[in-house]
Amino acid sequence: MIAGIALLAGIVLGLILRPTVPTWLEPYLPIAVVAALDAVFGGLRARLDGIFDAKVFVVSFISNVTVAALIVFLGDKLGVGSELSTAVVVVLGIRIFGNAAAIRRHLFRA
Amino acid sequence: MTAPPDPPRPDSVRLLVDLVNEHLDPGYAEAAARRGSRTDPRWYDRLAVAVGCALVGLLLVVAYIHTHRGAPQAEKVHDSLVERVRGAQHAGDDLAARVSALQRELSHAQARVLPQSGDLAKELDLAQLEAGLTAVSGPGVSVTLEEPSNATASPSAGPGGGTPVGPANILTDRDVRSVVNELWQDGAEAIAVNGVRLTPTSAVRFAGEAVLVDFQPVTPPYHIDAIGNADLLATNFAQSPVASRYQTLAGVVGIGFSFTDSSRLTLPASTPVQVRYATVPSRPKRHHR
Amino acid sequence: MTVPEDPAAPDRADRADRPPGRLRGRQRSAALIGVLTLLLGFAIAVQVHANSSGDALAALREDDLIGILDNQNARADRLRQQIAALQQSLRQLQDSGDKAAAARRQALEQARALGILLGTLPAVGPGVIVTVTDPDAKLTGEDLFDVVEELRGAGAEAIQFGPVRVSTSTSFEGNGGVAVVDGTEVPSPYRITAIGDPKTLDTALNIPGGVAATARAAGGELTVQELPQVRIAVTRTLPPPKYAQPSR
Repeated sequence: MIAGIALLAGIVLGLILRPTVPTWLEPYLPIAVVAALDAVFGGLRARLDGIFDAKVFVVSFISNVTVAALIVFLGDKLGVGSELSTAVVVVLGIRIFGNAAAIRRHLFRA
Repeated sequence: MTAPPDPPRPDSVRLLVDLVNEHLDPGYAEAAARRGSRTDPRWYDRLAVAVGCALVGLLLVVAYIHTHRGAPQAEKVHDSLVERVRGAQHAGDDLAARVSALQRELSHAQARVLPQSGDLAKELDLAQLEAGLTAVSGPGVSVTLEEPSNATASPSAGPGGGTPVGPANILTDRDVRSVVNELWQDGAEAIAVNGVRLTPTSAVRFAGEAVLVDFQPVTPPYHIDAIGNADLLATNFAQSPVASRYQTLAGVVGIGFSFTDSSRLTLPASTPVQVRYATVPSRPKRHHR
Repeated sequence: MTVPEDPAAPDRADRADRPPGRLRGRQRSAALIGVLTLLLGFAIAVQVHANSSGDALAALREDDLIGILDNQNARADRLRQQIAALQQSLRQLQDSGDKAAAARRQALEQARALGILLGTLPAVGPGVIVTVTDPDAKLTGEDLFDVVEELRGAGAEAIQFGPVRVSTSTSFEGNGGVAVVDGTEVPSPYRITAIGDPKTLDTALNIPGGVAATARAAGGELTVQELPQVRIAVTRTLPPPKYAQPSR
């Protein structure tokens, strides 16, 4: 409940403020988005499994975004930036799908 | 459901197995184990969840806005233009279908009151066939011109972030016209380019980079079908300077050029055209060739 | 009956009591699978079609698209005029007392229009007289074909090239100052008469990079004379086609 409301509040805030993304942040936006989605799906699944923990939710989200951004940043400096970015997106994407499947199993027993 | 314990595997393999199997952050399981049976919520629980979800929502919206603000204005104009062109094409096709239907209706109505075996009817049928108003089939030759397949990547990225790879634009309307001219020379009785029948009033022209046949845009590969004496057409065409020019181009630049003879080609009909400016003089001075 | 321990058992026990229910469930899921695969196939087909046909237009520049749009609008205008004319003919046929005579009249008009277009009948009307000089003898048959195509594209209804009446199958050959039009030799300077809207024909020949430019680049000149009436007296006979047969 509080999660849904907060999500909505974040969306509304973003639509009102319409912040511009500085150019140096641009390459990290996609992985931040995927990390955010991964955190949401992971949290939802943990909630359905009964082992949800708020601290883990926030910390894992922030750390995933930061670590992924650091990896890509380092990769950019070493010349493998786009490949590492792809790898991060792939890994997080797999996790999203796995968690989504678990959620589906909980919700639909299918 | 726990699987039987796996035999010890090297770390790299376990990494991949974990990747595919362990989707949930192990932090949750550890936190749950640490918590044990304690279920009273801590003071920061709801706040943390709220802050986390708000951040997620904010992030998603910012990314969405950024992506769509990034699309330059020109791209949007371009897309809307493409939509308009497609809409105009469909509208034109609908109108053409209506013209054909009305023409058929008129022909039927006329046929009901005119004797079918009369000279006038026969003359009209023949004229319609030769003017491209009747679908025809027969033996003939089919010539194909294609752009070179080793495509060059265009420098601009598409809106989705992908890079569209377009074929090089080497072939022009002149190439199609050369082939058409040569086929008429070699004895073709009817020709169609990419399914558009050539009539006394249809032309193969350029609109920038698009080839238009009878006002309809066609895109490569260009298939030019000609009905006539298949053997004669093929032989004459093969020996023509046009054919050798394109054979050479095929070798040098890599365009696709081929032609085959066929025992049965079918060419569609074209829509009739109104004659608005020309009239037959009342006392014709005929000079027959 | 033992108390079921796992939470899923009540459902299973329930389902076991109603075999027809389970059968219906299986049929339903089979139907659902069928519908979903159908949608998948449909989506694939639509996507492939969109990718194959859409990209061709999407790859064009803005100017080209505007040009095509103009052409499409012109085509639509012509078609609408034709629809009006055809509807009028139909009405004439229905309203007239002597239907046979009306039909005969219409058929004659059609035959005459086709005769003008095909070149079997002489024609008069507004148009242009185009003179192409080729002093250096550099223009090829294809260049002259371009002139004719340009005229056609601008709506010319009857064209005469030198002493030859131009029809659908007219081909242009030759170079070195002498054109071979449908087998007839026509020396330069070339005189081309076309019936149509004079302004449109003139503009089409003189577009930048068009046939006038080609003539000039070859050391010659292309001049257009707009006239309120030109006369095309030369006709040709069209032998009936031997290989092209009407297909149903």
